[in-house]
Amino acid sequence: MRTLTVDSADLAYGGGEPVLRGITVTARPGELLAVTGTSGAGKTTLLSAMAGMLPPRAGTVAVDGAEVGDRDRAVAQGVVLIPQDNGLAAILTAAENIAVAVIATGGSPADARRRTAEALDALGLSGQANQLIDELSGGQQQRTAIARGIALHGTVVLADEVTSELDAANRQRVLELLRAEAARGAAVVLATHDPEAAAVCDRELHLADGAAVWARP
Amino acid sequence: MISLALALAQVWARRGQAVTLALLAMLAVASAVAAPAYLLVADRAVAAGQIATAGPGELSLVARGARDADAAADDGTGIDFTDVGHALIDMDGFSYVYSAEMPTVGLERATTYPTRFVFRQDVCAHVRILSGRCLAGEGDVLLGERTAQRLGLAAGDGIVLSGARLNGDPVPKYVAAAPPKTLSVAGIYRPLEPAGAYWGTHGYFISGPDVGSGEPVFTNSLTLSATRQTVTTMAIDGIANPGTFDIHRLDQVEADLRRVEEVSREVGAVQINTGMPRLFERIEEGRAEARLLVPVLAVPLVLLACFSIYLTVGHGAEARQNELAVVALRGTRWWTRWWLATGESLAAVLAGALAGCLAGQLLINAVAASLFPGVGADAGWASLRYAPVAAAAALLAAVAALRRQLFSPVATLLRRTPPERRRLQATEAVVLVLAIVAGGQLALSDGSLTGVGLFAPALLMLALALLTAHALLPLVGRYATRALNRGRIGVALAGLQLSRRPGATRLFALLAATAAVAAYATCAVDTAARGRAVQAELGTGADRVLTVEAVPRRRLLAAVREVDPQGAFAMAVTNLYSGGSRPRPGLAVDSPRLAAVATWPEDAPSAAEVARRLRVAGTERPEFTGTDIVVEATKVPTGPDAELRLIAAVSSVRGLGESVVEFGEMSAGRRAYQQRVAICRDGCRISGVGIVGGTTSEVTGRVVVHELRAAAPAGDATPIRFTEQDRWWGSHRTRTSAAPDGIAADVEVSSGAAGAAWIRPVSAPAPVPMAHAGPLPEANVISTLGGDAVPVVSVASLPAVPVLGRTGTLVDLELADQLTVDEARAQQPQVWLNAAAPADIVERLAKQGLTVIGDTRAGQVRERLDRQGPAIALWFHVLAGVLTVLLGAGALVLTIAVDRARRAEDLTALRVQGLRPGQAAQATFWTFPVLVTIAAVVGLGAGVAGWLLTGWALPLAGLEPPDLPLPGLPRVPVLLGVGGAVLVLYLVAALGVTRRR
Repeated sequence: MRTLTVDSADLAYGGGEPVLRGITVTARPGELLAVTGTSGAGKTTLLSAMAGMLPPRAGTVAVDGAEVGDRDRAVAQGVVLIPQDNGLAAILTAAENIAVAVIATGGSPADARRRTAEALDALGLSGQANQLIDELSGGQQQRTAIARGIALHGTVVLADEVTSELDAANRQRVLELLRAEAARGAAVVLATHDPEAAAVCDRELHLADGAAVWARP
Repeated sequence: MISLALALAQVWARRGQAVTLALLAMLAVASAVAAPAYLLVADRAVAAGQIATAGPGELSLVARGARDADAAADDGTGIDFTDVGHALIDMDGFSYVYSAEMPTVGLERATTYPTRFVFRQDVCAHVRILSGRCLAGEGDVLLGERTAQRLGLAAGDGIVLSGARLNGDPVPKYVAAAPPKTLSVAGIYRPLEPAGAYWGTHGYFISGPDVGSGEPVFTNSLTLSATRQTVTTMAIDGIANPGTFDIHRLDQVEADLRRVEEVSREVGAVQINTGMPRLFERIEEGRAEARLLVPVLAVPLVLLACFSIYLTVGHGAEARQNELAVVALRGTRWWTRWWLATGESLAAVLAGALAGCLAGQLLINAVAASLFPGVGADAGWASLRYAPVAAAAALLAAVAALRRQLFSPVATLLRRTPPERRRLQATEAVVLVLAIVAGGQLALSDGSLTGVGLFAPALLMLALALLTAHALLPLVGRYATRALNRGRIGVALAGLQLSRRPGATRLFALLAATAAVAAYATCAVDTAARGRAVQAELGTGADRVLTVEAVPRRRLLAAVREVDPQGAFAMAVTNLYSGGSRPRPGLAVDSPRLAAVATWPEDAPSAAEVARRLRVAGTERPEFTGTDIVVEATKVPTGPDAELRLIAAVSSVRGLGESVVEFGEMSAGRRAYQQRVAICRDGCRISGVGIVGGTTSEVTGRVVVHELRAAAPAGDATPIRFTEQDRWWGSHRTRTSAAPDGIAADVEVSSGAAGAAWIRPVSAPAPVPMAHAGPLPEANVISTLGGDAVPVVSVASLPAVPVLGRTGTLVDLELADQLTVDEARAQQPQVWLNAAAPADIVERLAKQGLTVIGDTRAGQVRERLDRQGPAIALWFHVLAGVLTVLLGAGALVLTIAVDRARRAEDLTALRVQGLRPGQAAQATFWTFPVLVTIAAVVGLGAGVAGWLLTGWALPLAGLEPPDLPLPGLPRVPVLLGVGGAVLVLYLVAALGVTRRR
């Protein structure tokens, strides 16, 4: 399993002022890392950089010492992202969204079918597998995105506010599933502003005023 | 105010979509304006085409009356031209020529036709005086150059003419009926332009054995007045001045003509002869054909224009559904919500509609200037009469497309992907039912393109496109799902986007329908063009057909063979006898030249093969030489004594003609019957020895023919014996058998040629080989060149005989001539020529004694057909095809542009999840190209299917098409070419917009 390292990274969009400066953090295999902070603190920015979607202006983002590079390379290194907006294709059903991602990341069609079914079952969405995304509620859509993240069997799993639209039971279920991912050996990073969700994690990095502080190192 | 500003801001924010929508609305209204505008242009073009190709008789008129001098002297009656004259003078735009003529005798020896003694106003300006001078004083006449040469007359000589009348003989003759008058030949003339308009339709220069020399004797009014007259025909020729038949004057000319005809009817003795009514009828027919053909594709064009607006407005609204949902969520008042939903689209549609009124007319003006130069446009606003309706239809289509955004609950508005539809929608069901009703009406009314039937092609194509879209896209969805199950993500995503994206079915249907209209237009235009080619080429018979004055058949054959010994470019042709007891159109041709010269129908055995079967080698008929012919025959008493008359048919070996020699009534016992036959001085062939009855009642008898020989002093006295029975055969009224010293014939005959029984030499095969089109002749017997019946056997079945069409027969002229037992000349003799014929062919034929009196070229016929109503109307089909395809392309561009953001959103989400760039590109670039490819192919099929179902009803060859095997389908390469062009345009539009970032 692999370790994700962010070392002295300045993160900024375009030519603007950095949103985060000098961030250093490591996500280790088998552990759940919470990234907390208020709205706009830079949680999504940090996860975007970890996912290879935002190159750091300074510093490095690496998996086992290898630069993450762009998103395609990150995917190749097993970095899975569950985006805040779920990132689901409206034209596809819940099952198809998962299957496409599994096949795109190298899974066989048979793997895709099996892992899709398992993931949806784990999230309680077996009955919604063949429904179009627009036909699902906000919570169902979020769980579909999580199911996809789990089905991908990544080495690094980045979950951005994945419990924001869930009821307590489903939030618990999702946190357990993320724990199971960590138990499988994945490095799991959970961006959240929910203290209860953060409390479940092994460590907590708090973002504020463009800097990172270890709330629980 | 805020709403207005907001709507304008929306237009500005999506100005690309707004411009495209405005262009589509412009196309829609332009299409509605274009159809009536084109009909106005077609009205003018049809008239211009018919006038340009009209014959001289159709652009002039003759007021004619005959005055019998004897009757006038008895009762004082005569002709009063005064009223008609006034009416003619009121008829603007014509120059008038006065003429009078009288039949005379005294110059020619023949009495079956008179010498025409003619006064014609200003004749001196229209002839060339070859010798002498023109007419000056009383007693002066002009003689034609050939007449003068033939009769050995020159300027200054005197001639004597007498007014003549037809006598009452069974074969009427012209005899002198007035005292002779001595006249002076003032000059010898040659007409400057024998076919010119000045000479009118009097046929002064037509010559022929029963017509005359073709050179009237011209005189002045003084001389004619001073001559004792018999029956004088007076005429006023109205010759159209330039500009008289300008299109804008046609109604005036027609009204003037009606008035003149009315006056003429009142006057009684004056008759108006003109081909103008036929010209006006043709123009009206052509316009009627255009009025039937243009709406056939104008209807789908306008329907599809509205459909494209409906589609694109609806699609644009779906794309901004979230905005509208937000507006609705805030509880905005209904009119604000309505305005925000519709304002952006309606503004664009309205602007486009206004521009369309102008664009439609300008488009047709440009098309008219390009296709019909000089025809001009009709001033006025008539073409805009449907513009408000089209603009209203465009606005309604836009509002209808927005109904979901106007009336749906917020929850529905928030949903981006509509639920999958499996059942037919109400609109589709209505179109299907209407298509069935319209198609049924068309079939039941036997192709009447009126009422609901007019909509049949449009509705059928639309219904086919909608049904195919409804059936096909779910299949694409299933295919895409299977592709995903096999791991082919790019294909799967493209297919799923096709089958699930909002409005995909409608876009597919629109593209398929526009391609169908283009295919239908191609079918109509190309099938009609092929039909016109067949009509011009097969209907004419060859590249060029010269009709010549009546000559003996042998002379026709010999003359053409002399001019073209190799048979490379000319062929002699005559009509078979069209009367008699077995009338059937037929041609006799010099068949070895058939393949080289004649235009041959498609799907027929080759012309060379048919010619080979028609010309069966035979022996030539027996010959004799001498001016006196003797037939020895025995009339055998068999019962009540019936009158039997002996005849013989002979044919000059020198091409001097044929003769049926009558020997008179036969007496009982063996006798020698002798008669003089001048044409056999240099040799004749025996075509047959015949028996006829003396009355119209049929009688039976038995005759034994022994021998035939020449008896003239210098003749060849070797007799032709009838002892070898296998060298002779009997016609259908004869049963022959061997007899001592001759051949016995038991006959059943009556008087006249049709009642004759013949013993013929076995030269031509019996039955005669014949190629036929249509049903076989009754009892396999046809009337040959002379009208007598001969048995035939079909050696080839043809889809059509050149010129004659789908019912007719074709035999070899030489064989048919050998079988002919008459003395008539060739019926409507013609010389058919191919493109290799030399330019001076008329002169070459003239040297061989053939005078050309008619000249028809397939190219000219084609040109005339190309300027008639159907051909002119079909240009609108080309325009409609282009406009519909542009509509389809415009709708496609707008749809892709609107869809791009949403598609990009989906693909970006999937890229984040690991979708590789190649797979994303495949999904992007395959989606619409696959859609348009399938739509183009389906549209091509729907267009052809629509054509097969309704194309037969279109008057492509006019309201009364010729009986020729006109093609019903277009050429496959042309159809595929147009289909390919449509596909390329759609692909360019799809890829062009897809590539834009």
